Amino acid sequence: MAASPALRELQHDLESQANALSKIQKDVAKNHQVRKQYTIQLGENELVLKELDLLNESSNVYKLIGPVLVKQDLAEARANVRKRIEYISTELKRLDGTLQDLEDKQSSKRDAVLKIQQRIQAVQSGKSKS
Amino acid sequence: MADGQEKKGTVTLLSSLFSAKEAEKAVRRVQEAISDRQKELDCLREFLTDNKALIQHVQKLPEELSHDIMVPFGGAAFFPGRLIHTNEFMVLLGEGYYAERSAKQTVEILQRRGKSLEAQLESLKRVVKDLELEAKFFDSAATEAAEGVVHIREEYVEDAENQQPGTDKKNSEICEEEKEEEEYAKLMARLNELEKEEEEAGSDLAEDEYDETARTSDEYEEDEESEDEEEDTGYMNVKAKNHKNIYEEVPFPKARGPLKVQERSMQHDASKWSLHPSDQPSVHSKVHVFPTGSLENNLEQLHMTRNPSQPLKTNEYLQKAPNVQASSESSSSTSSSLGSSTERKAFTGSIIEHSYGLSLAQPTNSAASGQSSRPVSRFKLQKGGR
Repeated sequence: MAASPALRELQHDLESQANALSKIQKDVAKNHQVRKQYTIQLGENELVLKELDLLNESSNVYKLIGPVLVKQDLAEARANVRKRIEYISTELKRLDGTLQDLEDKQSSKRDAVLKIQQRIQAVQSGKSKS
Repeated sequence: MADGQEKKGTVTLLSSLFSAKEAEKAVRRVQEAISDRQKELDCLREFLTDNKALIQHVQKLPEELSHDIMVPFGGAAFFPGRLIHTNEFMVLLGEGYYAERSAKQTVEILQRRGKSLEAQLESLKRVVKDLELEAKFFDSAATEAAEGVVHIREEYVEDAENQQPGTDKKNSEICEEEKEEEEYAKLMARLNELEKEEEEAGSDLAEDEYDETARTSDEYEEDEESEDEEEDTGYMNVKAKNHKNIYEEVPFPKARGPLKVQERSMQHDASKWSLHPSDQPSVHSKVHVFPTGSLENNLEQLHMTRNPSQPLKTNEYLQKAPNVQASSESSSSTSSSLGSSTERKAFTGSIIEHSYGLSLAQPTNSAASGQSSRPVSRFKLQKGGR
């Protein structure tokens, strides 16, 4: 059947839009996963910080670096953990921002795809009638 | 028929709003989510029990100055050893941080950890509960759709009914007598035959049919018929097949004289009908009966005809009935020519609608309608055609 050039163009458009949409969806999924990981780490770090805060000043703290335990100053350990928590929370915020962005893009792309589909349908039905 | 349905389109199958398949899919998705959460729950529970065991163990260790143990050496070997310093623990705090702690302090840490685990467990349980509720909802929706439960919009019903009857009445008044007479004449001959048959075989069959008709739960008792029908409220409450029967029966006998009255009552009832999609077969059978009974034989005959007609007819009706059915069902193709069809249309249309919507739900009806083999098959054919 001789699809009119307009129709072909629309279909082309639809394809490219759909591809973009699926790409965005993949990004969103990836983002979600990373975010999940970070939240888990954040929780763990908060637990560590709580425990560190409960320790006496005199108690020994070690950090596992590779195969060896390295003795660390308690204050230093606390500072390290705090810094890490800070880093993770800023990272989370950043991820939230990008996620929001991606989702906006996703919905707009979805709208675009829907619109193109409707147009194609309209064109096709118009043709079949005529 | 289609027109009648559209006009009265008060009844929509749930399954037309969302397919049963989709609902099932949703259920499955939710179930998957639930099973995922359940796994997490199990995992957390395991942690919790491990934690408790560990606490007990740690509490026991410092009770002795030293323990004789088998020390794992490599993957498969052990050698005997002694555990000393039984009150010194290196506790992993997480993120690679270890702290040197006494047994008592270790237990404290472990208990804190246990508490946070329990909190997680609780929140997860709540999530699972929510999901289960969701699943239940989807599930019920799916089954309703599958069963052909009907979604009724009362406003539409009332509007449609009111409007249609009004218009119908005018036409019907004019045309009623004519068409009635003609149809009646046709029907009469058949009816007489049927009646004879009924009388012969009727006693048994009549009883059966009565029972079935009786199943229909009716709040509206208009005539003697209503009495019969009333008895069975429980049966079809959900699907209200019987209501149709009742309504149909009631109006028909009256139909002759006070058509208007009947129509009105029908209209009012119609909303109820819509609620309860009644049996298709029963409807048809009664439709057949109605013209004859109402015309000639009066109520007594009506009863007789109804009962026997459905079961007995099959052969004779098949031969003779076609005309009648056609007239009554398809918005009175025959009667339409007469012009009197309008009234009938209203009735038939409503009936058809119900039956149409009900089709899914019908299995239950079919049992009741089994006797009227003929009408049923007809209906199915029509459905299939659509």
